[in-house]
Amino acid sequence: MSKKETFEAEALIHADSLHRTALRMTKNENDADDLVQETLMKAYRFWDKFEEGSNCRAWLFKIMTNIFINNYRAKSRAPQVVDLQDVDDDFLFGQLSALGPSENPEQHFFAKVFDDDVKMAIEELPEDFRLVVVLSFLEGFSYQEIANIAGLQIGTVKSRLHRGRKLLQKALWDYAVKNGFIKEAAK
Amino acid sequence: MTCEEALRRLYDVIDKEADEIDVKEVQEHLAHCENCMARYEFEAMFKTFIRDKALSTPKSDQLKNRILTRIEDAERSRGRFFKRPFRYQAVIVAAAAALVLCIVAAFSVAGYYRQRAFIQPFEDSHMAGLQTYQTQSTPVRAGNPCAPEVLTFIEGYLPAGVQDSIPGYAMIGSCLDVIQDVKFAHLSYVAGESMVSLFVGSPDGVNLPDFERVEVGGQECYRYVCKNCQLMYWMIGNTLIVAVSEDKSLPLPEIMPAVSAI
Repeated sequence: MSKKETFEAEALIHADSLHRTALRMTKNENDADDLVQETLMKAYRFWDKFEEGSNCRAWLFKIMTNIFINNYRAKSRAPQVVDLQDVDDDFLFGQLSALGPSENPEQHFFAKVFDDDVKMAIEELPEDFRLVVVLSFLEGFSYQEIANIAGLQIGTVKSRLHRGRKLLQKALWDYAVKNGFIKEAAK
Repeated sequence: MTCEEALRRLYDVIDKEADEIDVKEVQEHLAHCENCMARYEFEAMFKTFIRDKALSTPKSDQLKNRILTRIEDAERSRGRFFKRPFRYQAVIVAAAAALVLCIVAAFSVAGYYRQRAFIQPFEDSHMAGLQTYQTQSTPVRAGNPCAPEVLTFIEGYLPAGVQDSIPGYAMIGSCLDVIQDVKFAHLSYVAGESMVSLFVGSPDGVNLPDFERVEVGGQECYRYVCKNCQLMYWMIGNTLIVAVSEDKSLPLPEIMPAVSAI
């Protein structure tokens, strides 16, 4: 098999997956397209450096994350301050449970929220949290893989994922309340 | 295991990062703790929910094709040339160099023949005149009058006409020559042993070659020196003058101004 053929079979098959994450990270189709193209062209240039048998998908995500961080991330590099002081770990669970057991509020809540709303809620997460949430929730990478891809300590991955979850739950709850899907009964 | 311990392991278990022992202990706790069980189920559901809702994205087949095209372009433009073993490169470079040399040589040979093709008839005509002048038993008398048909022909080109002699030179003969399918007045002048042939005519239809450009006596002209003689040509108005002499040092336009100045 030629270089191009092996690349097609082993790397290019992950284009959809890369594209999905690129969309959530760049928040627009054009940038996502560019980011994926840039990623795969770079991967193709360094294809000789890729160790056969190792995790090609994680390798591609690492390349893409680097390009994203260097070229695409929001210009302001100030640390992202997220105030989660008043949000409990079980915030959403607590809110939904308080609606009463008879109505099966979780099912109701999950049924009401649309795909696009979830995508938007993800995109509204601060970048640092968004990256680990997307890599974990959508792409199914392990903590260790995410640590390698994003160049973070495992502990940082875990804490960002934890906070990302809370932010996401809070955002979706607020969204549901705002749109009248849920009556905010509990305080 | 307490509820607190079970909840501390919540996300590790949901994310399948907990080790087997922890998972087993958590499962044992959940089996008899409804609250923790509800929380675990909810968080697992939440994760699945997010994944299901956000996983679908537009197919990126077009994107893949674009990348493939770019890869093909990159492959082509990078060229396989430098990846080949060195000896092939050397052969290719040598072949290319040889080809370039051949082309250059072909052009110079062609150029030479083109120039020769221009010179040859003038030179032949001049040499024939010279030979006649030198070898005839009854020497051609210097100071011949210009032939009437030549005078008539020349009137169209040099309205003032032609003198039979110009300072230091005497006419020995004149005729009409056809060179390169163009009619020329051929005038021959002598001074001592050196002879000059002037060809006067129209440049139309004459393929003028690129000779060395020189300026002689204020006249811009083109000069070529060959084995037997030198040839110069220049323009006066729309008239082409070609001068040939076996004396390669003669400043031809300078000593023949009379023809143009008459």
